[in-house]
Amino acid sequence: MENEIQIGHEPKQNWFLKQIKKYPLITFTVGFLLLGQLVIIFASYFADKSLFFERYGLNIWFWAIGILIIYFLQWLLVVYVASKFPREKLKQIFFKHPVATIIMFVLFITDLPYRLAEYGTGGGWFETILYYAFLAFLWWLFVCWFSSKIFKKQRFQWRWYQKTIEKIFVFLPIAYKIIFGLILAVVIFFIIFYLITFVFKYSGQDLKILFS
Amino acid sequence: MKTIGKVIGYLILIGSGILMFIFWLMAMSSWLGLLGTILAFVLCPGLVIFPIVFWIIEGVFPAFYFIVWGVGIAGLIIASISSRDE
Repeated sequence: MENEIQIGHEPKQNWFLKQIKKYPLITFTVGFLLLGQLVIIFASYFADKSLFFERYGLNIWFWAIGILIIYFLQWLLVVYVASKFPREKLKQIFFKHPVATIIMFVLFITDLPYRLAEYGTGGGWFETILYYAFLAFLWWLFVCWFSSKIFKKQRFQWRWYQKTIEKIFVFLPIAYKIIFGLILAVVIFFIIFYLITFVFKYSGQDLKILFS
Repeated sequence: MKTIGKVIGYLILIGSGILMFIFWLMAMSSWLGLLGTILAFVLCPGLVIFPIVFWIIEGVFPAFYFIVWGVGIAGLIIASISSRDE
């Protein structure tokens, strides 16, 4: 009976699989962004090979593997941060540093339009917001850590602030799922539409009549 | 993850439904004018009858209507898979 699993001893699971199961939303988001980048790279390569080499140089596989590695490292980083700061711990940091949180949030909101204007063109606004939010989050963590070293005691404690943070912690995951789901729905809609159109060789004649 | 699946499925389904309705509304208003627009809101297109009527009147098969219908069914499948218990 060597193959039998002993009671109380869970079978060893691959670390990556464990992290994927533990953080499915992070994995799904990074996977979606990776797929988007790969589609852009391959589409621009097959659309005009000479222009692709002129603009980016090197081999297409270099780009594809490079992007894969970069996104894998990004996933590792986000998973690491998420494992270090679980929900309750994060909430406590928010409660402990109201001034730093408000200042960092105002800076983030006021700077976001400029970042979007710079990098968010061509449908990249979702990725830009995510990247910039993550960077702002890391900066906020640093500022909180720094202020906790300077100020040993918590000076400000506002009831309205705590209530707002509680509400944000409830509202934000739902809002993110709905927005992400909406983007995915639009993408999947067009993919299925394109596939059916391609299979049935749709010419658009009925729509031309309707809108003429 | 189930929530996202449900959101995606239902949004595709609702989006397809809206597009099918716009197709029906445009056809009715182009055939009957204002009366057609009012009737489009009151009457039900009938999933198979309206495309046949369109085909007969316009002489073109309404492929767009069926494609969007197919996409809507795909959305329904996604939503039902996501709604299943683990």
